[in-house]
Order: sequence, then C-alpha cells, then structure tokens
Amino acid sequence: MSYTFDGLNKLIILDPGVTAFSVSDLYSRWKDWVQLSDNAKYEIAFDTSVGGDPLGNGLLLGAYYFITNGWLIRPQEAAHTLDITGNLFPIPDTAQIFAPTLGNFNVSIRSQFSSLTQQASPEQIAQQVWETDLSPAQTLDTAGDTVKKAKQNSAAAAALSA
Amino acid sequence: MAAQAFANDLTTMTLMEAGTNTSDIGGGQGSTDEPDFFIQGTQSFSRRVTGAGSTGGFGFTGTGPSTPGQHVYIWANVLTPGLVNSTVNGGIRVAIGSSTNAYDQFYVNGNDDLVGGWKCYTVDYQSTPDATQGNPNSTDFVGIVLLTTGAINRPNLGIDPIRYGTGITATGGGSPDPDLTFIDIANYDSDVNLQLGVLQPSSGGVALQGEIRIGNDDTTTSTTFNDTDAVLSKINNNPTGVNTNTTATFSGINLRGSLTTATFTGCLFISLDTHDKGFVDASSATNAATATFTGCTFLDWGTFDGRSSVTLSSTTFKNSGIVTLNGSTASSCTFDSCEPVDVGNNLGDISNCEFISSGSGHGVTTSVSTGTVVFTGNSFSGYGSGADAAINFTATSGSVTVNVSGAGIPTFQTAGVTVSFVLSNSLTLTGLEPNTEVRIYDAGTTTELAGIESTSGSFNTSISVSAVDIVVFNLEFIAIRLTNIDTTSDRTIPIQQQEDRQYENPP
Repeated sequence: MSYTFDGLNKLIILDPGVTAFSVSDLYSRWKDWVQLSDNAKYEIAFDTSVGGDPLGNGLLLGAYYFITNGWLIRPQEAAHTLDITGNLFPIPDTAQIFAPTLGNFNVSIRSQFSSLTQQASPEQIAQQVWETDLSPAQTLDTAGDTVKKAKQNSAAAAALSA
Repeated sequence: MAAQAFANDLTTMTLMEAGTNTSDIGGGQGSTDEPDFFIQGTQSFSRRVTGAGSTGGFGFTGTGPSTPGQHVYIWANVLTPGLVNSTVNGGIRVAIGSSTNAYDQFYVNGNDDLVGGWKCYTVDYQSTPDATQGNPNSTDFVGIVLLTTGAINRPNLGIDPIRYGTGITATGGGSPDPDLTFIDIANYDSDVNLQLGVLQPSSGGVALQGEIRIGNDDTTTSTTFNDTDAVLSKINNNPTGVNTNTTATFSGINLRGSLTTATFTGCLFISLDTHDKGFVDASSATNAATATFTGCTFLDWGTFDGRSSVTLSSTTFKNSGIVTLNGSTASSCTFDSCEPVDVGNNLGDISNCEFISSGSGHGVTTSVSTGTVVFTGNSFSGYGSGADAAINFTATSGSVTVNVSGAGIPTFQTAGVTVSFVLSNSLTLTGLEPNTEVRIYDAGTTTELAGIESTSGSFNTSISVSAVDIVVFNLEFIAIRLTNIDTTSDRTIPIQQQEDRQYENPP
C-alpha cells in the first residue's frame, strides 16, 4: 500500500517514493483500511463518492470524491512534484486537502482533473473495437491496416490449400 | 352465575307520602300534599316560600343520622330557581338539626343554577355548616330552606324522600344471568318506588353521589360486573365559595369479594366535584376482587387504590389524584398532570406508561430500597429535579439498581437510598446488504458498544447509553456513519446503502 492512514490524527500519509496517485485508488485503499482492525471507529475520510452512474448509451457519470471530516493528505517527506489524477474536493468546500510535510520540503502538487462529466465505459469501448468495420482502413501500417491485411492473407492461404 | 341483586344502606326518614307530618320553617301557608309533582311514589310535599330576603322551607322530624360517614339524601324541587339567592348566599340550603328552630344550614345551590327540577342533595351531617339557626343538638330534623329574592305566587318548593346512608351494593350477574353494569345499578336506584339518589341515570350516562359497592366482602358471593364505554360522572356536591357538604371520600366505587370480577372497558370516570372527587377502592376489602380497567379514562378523578388482583392497561388519568397500585400493574397507561403514582416497593409494576408533569411534583413515588428493578418503556415529560423530579425514592437507605429500557433515564430524587439507573434500550438496523460490517460507538467517542464483522438483513443490539454513532460499512456500498443517534428509547433504523461504483479492488 502506498498510503498510511492515521485515523486518530485524520491523516493520509503518502509513503516514501510516492509521487503520484489516483484519487480512485486512494479512496479504495481507504475503504480497505476501514475494514481492518477497529478502524471503523474513526470518522470517515470520504463522504459520498459520486459517479459511475449510467447515463444511457453506455455513458457513465464522471467520478468525484469528497474528502471530509478534516482528513488531510500529507505528501512524502521529500521535495518533489506530486501528481494527482482524479476529481478530489473537500467538504466543506473551503477546507484544506493537503497537510504540509513534517520537514521543510518543497512539494508541487499537480492535479489532473477529469474535464469530462461523462466517460465511455470499458465495455462500450471494447464493444466498439470488436464491431469496427476494418474495410475502410487505408493508412499503411496502422493496426486496422495490419489486421485487414492479415485477414486477406488468411483468406488467400485458405484458397491455395483448397 | 346468579341473578343481579341490589341493596342499599340508606335509612328512610320519610317518603313524603300521604299522611306525612311535615314541619315548616318560616311563615305563610304550610306545606301540603303535592300530587302534581313528585320524584318517588305518588306524591311529594310542597309549599310556597316567597318574598325578597325571606327564608322559609320545611322538613321532617324523625330519627336522623348518627353514624359518622352517613350522609343525608334529600330530594328537592325548587320551581323558582331564579328567585332564590345565590349559592354563596344560601339560596337553597339543607337544614339538619333538632327542630325547626334549631338547625344547621348547608348551602347546596342557588340562582347560579337555573336548571331546576328534582335534585337529590347530599350532606354529611358532620360537615361544618354555612349557617346555624338556634342551638341544634340532634339530627332528627332534616329539610330544605330557601332564601328567596322576590314575590312568588304559587308553591315553589317540593320535597320528596329524605334518607341517610352511604350507598348501594350490587351483587350477582354472570352468565347465564346478565353481567352487572352501571346502568343496571342506576335503574335500580331510580325506580319510581325507590329513588335513592346514589347513582342516577343522566343524559350523559350515570351520575354518582355516594358509594357503589360491587360485590360482597366475602368468599361466597359471586358477582360479575362488566361495563363498556360507560360514562360515570361524579356530581358536584361541593360548590365553590361555601363549606364542603360531603366528605372527600364519600363517593366512589368499592370493589370487593373473592368471587367478584369487575371489568371496565373504555369507561369514562369524570368528576365535577373538586372536593369529593370520587374514588376507586380495591384495597380496603378483606376479600380481594379481581378487576380490570382497559382503555378507561379518569378525568379530574380522585384516588385509585389497587391491589395485586387489579390490572390497569391503556388507561388514562388526567388531573387526577393519587393512584396507589398496592401490587396492581399498570401498563401502557397515561398519567397526565396527576398526583404521583404510588407504586410502593414495586417500581416494576408500571410499564410502558407515559407521565406528563403538571409543572410541579413527582410522577412516581416508590419506597423500594433494595434489589434490581426492571423499568420498561416508561417515559416522563416536563419533570425537573428535586421536588419536581420524575421519580421520588422515599427509602432512606439501601441500594437499588433500575434497568431502564424503552425510554430514557428519568430524573429522580432520593431520601437516602442509593439509586443506579442502567439504560438498556434496543437498537435495530434493518435493510442491511450482505457482508455489511456494523459498529456502534458511544456518541462522540471511539468506544465501541456493539458491532458485527459481517451481517445481512438486520442487526439488533442492546444499548445502555443515551446516544450512539453508527457505522455501516461495506466495500460495495458507500460508507455510512450516523452520528449522535438518540437511544433513549427503543430504536429501529432502516438502512439504505447506496452502491459504491468507485471502489476498486486492490490491483
């Protein structure tokens, strides 16, 4: 695990070497941690997480996570740039999300928010790939071109052996 | 079991039938036979009392009451209620004395009551009179005196039976004979040849002044009383502004006899009298009757003395006197603005009852001094501390543990006995998804009170604190934490877990 959860002090401490994490993973590992021992006694770190709800046509609501009850994320004790992927917001909206490192380190935090409120589901992506008509593929050496040629070659070989 | 039977202990002084020798008070035409209006038999006696500021009346001289507790019952019909003075000025008075020149006067009515008609007035001969004429030295003369306020042209005062005593005894009933009811007793009382005046039919049910004894105080008389939705009103014998006319314990219902079963369902007992409010007494008899009160209402009533053979359930007491359980049980009852319920040393005899304070005083008084008491579902509202605490523990020493469930811990006052309340209410969570972890914490702390690693459906536990935090956790559902949940009463909380679409299993 890349995180250490300190329920008493409401801290999520990033382990040494961690320079990036996804909010989705952080949220999930927090839930794993709550299940352990008597960690459920602490105030919850994440309030409702929203997203993933189907919107029709295979589209899903984008995911948002809300850190709450004064929980803070503390980066590793090193000067670094911390990359965060995912939509993370505090409750209340004026609250802090990050705690300073214990030592005097410069930490740059770079958040990569999802700009979409919708995203295609993996199943839909897979379905689109499998059902794609490769006959129009014209660009040489593309995946479509390669698969199309492989299909054509297979057909030719079968005809010769007949 | 046995045919209904009725008896009374009233001694008749006169029935005012023909040939009665009446005695007049005041001048003018004397009292005469009155065949035109009467309440009992075939006639009464009447006379005219007239003139502004005049006092006059008549009565009968015989052998009057002499045993303490006996009350005079005298029927009177004042045809001109608007032409007598007010009650506080003695418009209508019962006279009890040794002669027409020596009698005590008890003010019973006046022009503040214009309804008129035949009324049976009751007076304890030992009550403090409002006025006295001469120097009475016996109770052998009983009559009615009016203080009129104007000229009256025809006979305006009728008097019919004069008796003294305490009340009626009803026995018998039970299949194949009909069970006794209040109206059966009232019909006996109001027979034209009797007209006792103890329990009379009224437009609103039955009207009481005196004692109704249900059953004989023995081991051999079978009595079955069973009444539903009856309305019993205690007549106001003690108007405001004058001395009391009856004793405070004159009127009520006495339950007695080991073969007596009395069942009251949905009955209303209402007192219009603030002094002689009416009582229910199941405790005085040597031989205990079995009695059940279900869904009854006692409004402005007096006292209720039970015993172990008496059951109170879903019954409401409002503005009423002391209920002394004496071993009877009270469940799902309401005591609203009442005197404290005396449970003796059996605090556990009340359960699921609601106590509402009048603003001062206790809800319950108990003498329990030792042991553990199960105290279930009793709620108290409006009570304070000290003299206004919900429960008053009167024992001066000892130690009592009270296990409270189904409600919060009440306030209490103790005279010395050590009292420990242990709250234990049930908490139930329903609708839990499979594989859900539940943890219950003392509110605002991390002290776990109960919990389960994995459950489904419902979770139930016993809680002994007044508030809890609840955690409902499941990897597949959004985490739920309910804070500061009131557990001062049994709680059932439906849980709706929302699917967590974001949780990802560890890679």
